[in-house]
Amino acid sequence: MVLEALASGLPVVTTRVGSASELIADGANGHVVERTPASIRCGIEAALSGDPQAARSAARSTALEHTWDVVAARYLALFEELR
Amino acid sequence: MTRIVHVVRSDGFAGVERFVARLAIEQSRQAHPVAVIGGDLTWMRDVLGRDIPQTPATSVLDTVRAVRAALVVAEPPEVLHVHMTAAEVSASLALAARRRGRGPGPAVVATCHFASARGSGSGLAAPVVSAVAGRRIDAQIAVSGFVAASVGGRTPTQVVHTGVPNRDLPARPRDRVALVAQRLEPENTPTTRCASSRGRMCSNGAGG
Repeated sequence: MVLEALASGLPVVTTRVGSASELIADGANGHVVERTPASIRCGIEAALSGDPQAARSAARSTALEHTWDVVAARYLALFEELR
Repeated sequence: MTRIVHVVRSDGFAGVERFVARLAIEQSRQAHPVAVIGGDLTWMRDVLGRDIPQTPATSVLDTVRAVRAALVVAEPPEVLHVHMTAAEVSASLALAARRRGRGPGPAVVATCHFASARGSGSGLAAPVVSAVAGRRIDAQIAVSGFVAASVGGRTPTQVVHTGVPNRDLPARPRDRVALVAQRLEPENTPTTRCASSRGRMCSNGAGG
């Protein structure tokens, strides 16, 4: 879901749950927040008040590192090492 | 060119099966011969198309049989790519039953999709399931660092995040709308989210 949002050019506000925070560079393609309403609110406000074009570009840039052709190439490189 | 068989013991078409389908399609598009064992017969075939053969595998026994059949064709796979513990067990059993003198056999690559130790859903049999499942694995991949930290196993775990389609962005500007995607975590109750977003978003005439 996080990758889908980034691929759509959207910054993501996330808590440190699961793998979401591995993909988010705080302040660049989104905001990593604490599990409190105040922190979540700050993250949403920051996302809304930032430069939308810069956030869009950063989000897309992260997503493009994880497109299916890139993922498949990573797997195939590993397979090649094992042969 | 690498001959690949993806294995998942499943008759569904949820997250893991979609992952298998998308990866298989992309590997096939990059000119590698790919086949899939497992997944919902209708949905998986619709997505895979005609170029990627699929064999149903709804039980471990089905899966073992399908893997054994895949190993005895004229050009057997060089890689068995197994997804989730039941497929790992099936591949291990199928390879154990393989006749000696047939060459080194395929490499077994496991992708771990969930943040839990191998075999943890098997109750008292977990240690046995884990041992059988992990015995033939040559390389292990997790779909995130979070998953990698939980899965264990005797081989090091590499992280390769799941993939995403590369679609063009819409040209028109975005509306100021926050999409709230919830998981069952305390901070994600609707009332907490509303408390988080009230004020600023309302004052901007936006909603979410």
